[in-house]
Amino acid sequence: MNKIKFKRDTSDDLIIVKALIENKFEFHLAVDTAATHTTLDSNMLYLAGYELKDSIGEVNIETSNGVITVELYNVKIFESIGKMVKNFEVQVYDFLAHGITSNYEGVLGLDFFQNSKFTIDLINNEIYFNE
Amino acid sequence: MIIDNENTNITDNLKLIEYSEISASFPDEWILLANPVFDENSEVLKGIVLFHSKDKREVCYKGRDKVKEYQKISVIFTGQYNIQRRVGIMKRV
Repeated sequence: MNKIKFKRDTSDDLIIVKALIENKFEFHLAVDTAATHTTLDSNMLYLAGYELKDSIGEVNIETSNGVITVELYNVKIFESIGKMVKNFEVQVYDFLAHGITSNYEGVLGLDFFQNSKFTIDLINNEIYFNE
Repeated sequence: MIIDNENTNITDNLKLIEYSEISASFPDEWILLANPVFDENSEVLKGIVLFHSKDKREVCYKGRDKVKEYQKISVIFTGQYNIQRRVGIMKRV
């Protein structure tokens, strides 16, 4: 079982974990159990070498601000909380254009945890994860 | 030595800089950081500064050409984030 720690000082703080793309680009993602799919900021994905033409499609998603259209990309190697997935499909949209300049570059959604068992410990600020 | 944005060449002078020095040199800026070192809480301890700007988009777009030589890349912010409550539903429809 993997165990990772996170820092969460107040109830206003999210659970932020690191994610690695192509074994090189380190993102910070908010663990979001209200998100069906993992979603990344397009600006960071561009930094990681992806282009608009790499999009494999688009889909509409319901957010707290209404329905928006996001692009879909296959990330060749995606890793977070000790789990690595090849050709991981992620949703992508421009966080900055939507006014999001927080301490994360995306959300880690339920799809990443599919078929696994994970526990969030808000007493010790730890995530236990078992594939 | 911390790189000047005007000097985009990778040089031997680039080295790991403590976060305290980075934040003092570039307050309230986005920093493109190579080979960052994080603590167990994902807080950055040090790294190599490749580019810095008040504009995160500029860091991502202008910084892309500067990352090839490095094993790890991250973007950090040296300012304080606005603390606000969030609702984060994201569901495909």
